[in-house]
Amino acid sequence: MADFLTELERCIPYLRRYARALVRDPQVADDLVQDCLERAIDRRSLWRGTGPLKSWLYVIMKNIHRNERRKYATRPTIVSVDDAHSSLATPPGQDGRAALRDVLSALDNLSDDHRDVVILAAIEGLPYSEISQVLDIPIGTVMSRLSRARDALIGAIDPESLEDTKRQR
Amino acid sequence: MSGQENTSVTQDLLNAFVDGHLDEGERERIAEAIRNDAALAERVNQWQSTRDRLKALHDPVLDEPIPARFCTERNPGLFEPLKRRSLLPARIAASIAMLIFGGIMGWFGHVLYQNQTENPDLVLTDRALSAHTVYTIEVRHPVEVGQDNEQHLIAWLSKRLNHPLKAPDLSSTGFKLVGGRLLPAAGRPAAQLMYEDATGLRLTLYVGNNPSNKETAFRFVSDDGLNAFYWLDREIGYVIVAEVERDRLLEVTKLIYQAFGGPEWN
Repeated sequence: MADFLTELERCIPYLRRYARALVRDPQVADDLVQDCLERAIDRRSLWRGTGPLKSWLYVIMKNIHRNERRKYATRPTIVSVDDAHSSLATPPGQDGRAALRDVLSALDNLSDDHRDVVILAAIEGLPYSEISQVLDIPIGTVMSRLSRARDALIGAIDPESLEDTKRQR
Repeated sequence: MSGQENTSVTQDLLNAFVDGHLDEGERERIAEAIRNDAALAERVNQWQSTRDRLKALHDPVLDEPIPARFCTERNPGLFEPLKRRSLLPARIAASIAMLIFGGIMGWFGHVLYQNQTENPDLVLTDRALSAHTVYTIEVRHPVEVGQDNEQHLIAWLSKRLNHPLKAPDLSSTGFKLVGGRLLPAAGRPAAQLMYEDATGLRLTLYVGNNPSNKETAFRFVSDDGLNAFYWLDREIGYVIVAEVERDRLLEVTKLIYQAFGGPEWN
């Protein structure tokens, strides 16, 4: 049990980052992390110890978020620059702020399926096989959703360039 | 690079390229392909910069100080409220130690506070609490050798543990011996003696190996109503477990401690 708790603690920063990507508000994100930890301790006996504990925790958090979207729904389609500034990093300069606003609202506007893979691939940096396990989808599906998600993201930020790319094909 | 198959294979590689999953050779191969295709380069660059922006926005969370609500060093009972809400039978699910500061332990005055997640004593108490939970609910076979065979029981357990054991007389506290059993503890023998009061409430004394091999004064652990005191005496640890309030358990623990030849604490 002691080992389990120690390992759990080590995962907390990653869980907080993942929660912050899923749920913009820092307080609500930490509530999500707390719920995730509660459930993990609850179900400790179900964890077989195969694979990283962090993956198992991501699954728990993803499921809680999905099942309780109403509770954890803090996804305004427009994120005011000041809100984003206070809760997340600030890129320098005016252009940076516009880009900040763009990418977060673009992320918000993705479908849930697309957003899930992009967060795990681009923000959490998980290997694709692990994403496949966390989201319980075949790896081929991970890859195709990721490509479409990425195209959708850049399309939302800069539609012209996406058009050019398509025309070349 | 314009066929359908090529596109999907390339897309997988493009993702891996942007996410940094390719080895040196593959990286160079894709980089070369990108250099030769302006549209591809544009798309990859945008994928890359989007990824960079998302990371720049979220990675700082990793460096934030952990909020107090998640920090066991400042908040030693951190997982206690989480554990209480556990849906699994708490005694089986979590023998998490909650170490109480010295004031409460007045009689001994030597309680040390330790970060619970680094405490190797948890292995010992975990076993004792689990064994208590598992065997005290048995109606027909709570013990392996009964009190009617006390001499044999003690001789047997002492021999197996290679350490002199006794079944302390707890009648002054209302508990009488039911019997005992041998238990495995990471391949080594441990002993459990079970006592019972007039209401059928049971108390167990668990004697097992102490992995840390150090001496301590009394420590208290609690797991949602199931309380335990333990102390360590070099290679042996003693754990007294019962679902009684701490004060009553302390009384019993003192008796057991004295029976095992512990010095008087004042």
